[in-house]
Amino acid sequence: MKKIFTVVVILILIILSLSTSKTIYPITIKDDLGRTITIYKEPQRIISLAPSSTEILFSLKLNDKIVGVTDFCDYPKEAREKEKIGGFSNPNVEKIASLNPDLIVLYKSFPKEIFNQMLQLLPNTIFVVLDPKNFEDVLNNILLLGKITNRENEAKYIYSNMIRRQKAIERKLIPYKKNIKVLFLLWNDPFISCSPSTFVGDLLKKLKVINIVEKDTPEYPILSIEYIVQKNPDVIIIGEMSGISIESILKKPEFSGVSAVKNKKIFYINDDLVFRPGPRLIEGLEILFKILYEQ
Amino acid sequence: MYYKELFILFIILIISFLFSLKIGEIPLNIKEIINIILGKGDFLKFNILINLRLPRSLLAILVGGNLSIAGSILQGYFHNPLAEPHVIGISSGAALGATLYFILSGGTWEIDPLITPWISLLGAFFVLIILILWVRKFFYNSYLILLGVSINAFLSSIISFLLFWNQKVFQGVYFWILGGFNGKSWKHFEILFFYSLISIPWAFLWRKKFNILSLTEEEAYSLGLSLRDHQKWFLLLLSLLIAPSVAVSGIIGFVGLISPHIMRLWKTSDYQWLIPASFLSGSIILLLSDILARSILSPSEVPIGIITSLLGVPFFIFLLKRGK
Repeated sequence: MKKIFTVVVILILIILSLSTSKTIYPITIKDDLGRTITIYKEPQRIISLAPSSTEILFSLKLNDKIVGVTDFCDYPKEAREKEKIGGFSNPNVEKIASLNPDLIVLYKSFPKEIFNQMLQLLPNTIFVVLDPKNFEDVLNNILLLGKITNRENEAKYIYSNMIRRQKAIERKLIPYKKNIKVLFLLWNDPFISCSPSTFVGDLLKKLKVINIVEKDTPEYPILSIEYIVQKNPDVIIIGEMSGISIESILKKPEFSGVSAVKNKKIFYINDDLVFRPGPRLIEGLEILFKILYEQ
Repeated sequence: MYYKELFILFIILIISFLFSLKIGEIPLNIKEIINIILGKGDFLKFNILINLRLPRSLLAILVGGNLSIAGSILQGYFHNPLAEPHVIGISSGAALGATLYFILSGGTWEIDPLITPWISLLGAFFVLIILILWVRKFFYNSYLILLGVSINAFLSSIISFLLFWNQKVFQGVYFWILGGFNGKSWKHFEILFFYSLISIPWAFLWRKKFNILSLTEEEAYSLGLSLRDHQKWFLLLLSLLIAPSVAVSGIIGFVGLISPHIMRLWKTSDYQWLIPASFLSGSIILLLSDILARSILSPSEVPIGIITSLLGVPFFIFLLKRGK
């Protein structure tokens, strides 16, 4: 009897999950700006106006529906093959219009002037504006785009995968107290770091470490050598794209007293993993965890 | 005088204008353009021609023309061939206005792109008031240029300081200041057109008067003319030429410096020729630059300032060499 009950429950769960997996149009959603948008049919021609939304859309297996991306969309590899519509702060409106999109995904940092022009030029196109501020917002973005594009299954899969991996890190963090001081370096001439209000800042918070940048603004502050020496970070993490060499930090005489330099705790990370609000953010979190606690 | 040359310039302008309407991601031929104007094109092509390329091209014409007239007047006024529209500080006032508006709105998204020009006009006219109040206290004409340069430096550091603390708006403001015609609508054109209705006819009417400018202050005085009486009005006219252009298209450099000089080298420094010729040549240079800016790296747009210099400088140096 108990067995049958379990089987029935499982069956019901499977049916439920199958029935929720398909988006039934029309649907009404709210984007990150709180704009209410009604979508009447599954989008077939999608343009992504930022590298992170491109990553989300590809992870939702929308390869054949994406018709345009920005010059900066380089991941996954297939994104490079797609039609380019220009940069994300200076895109080509005519190009966008000529691709005849039915869905355009963009972020709040997009230039308003050009957005207004697109609205006028493409009255039947759906515009979804995202504005994620932390890891959780990114998860919601993935769910939202999944719902809009009839990829709820894929979205839920990515969502639960990311949550599971995040929880795993949280569990591993339980025994640790917040006492590692970290400096994240984007640039070395001058030294530029990230405040707690950036994505990197959010990830560092989640990893229970102290970001030596305390103020929220400016988001990317210039730090003096004196400040860095005085804060004495235990670990220095360098964004790969900056091209800063670990050697140059180790050899800098001013830093000889800094604990990270003394203990040679200086590491690289792929910037895109911690700056792009997309599905790879979880990889960034895991790599940061390894750097901070396992090396 | 020189009607033939003005006519040639006008024809070049018309041809460039037609090119500007034709060229883009969706190429339109003349037949299609006529069809669209007659209301027979499809919605997308209609919109691209009427709401994108047309206002953009007209805006480039007016901005180029206004800045060049302003440049030609300033070069005479200061007896300085290096003078250009952005030297007297009006443009920095406009940029500061735009920066403050971006910051007070809270971000690049929160702004209304159609309010930005008005706030930057306020900033520009604020600088104009300072200039008018101070310029009376200076004995020499040349002090105005020093005052302008100082105001420029002062306002630029305020802008940089503000942006340093508000990095969220940095990109928006940066692109605004850099200037260009991407994303500009009929509304932008209307604002500039309204001011140009006053400033351009005014400049044309005074074109004989500007010849006094090329005299020194003493020479003018000996002819019974006082530059001093005109100073305020010159400043007002210059502001009406410069401020709205900057307000709708950002700080586009070089065109205001180079096109009056090209016209001087071609014919004469007589303002009766220089005012209309500078207008036409400035329009042509900026229009051609805009066409190149949106097509050479298409679909990416190159900032127009880069193209203006790239296009203008070799030609200018060629003329200078030949002039000698």
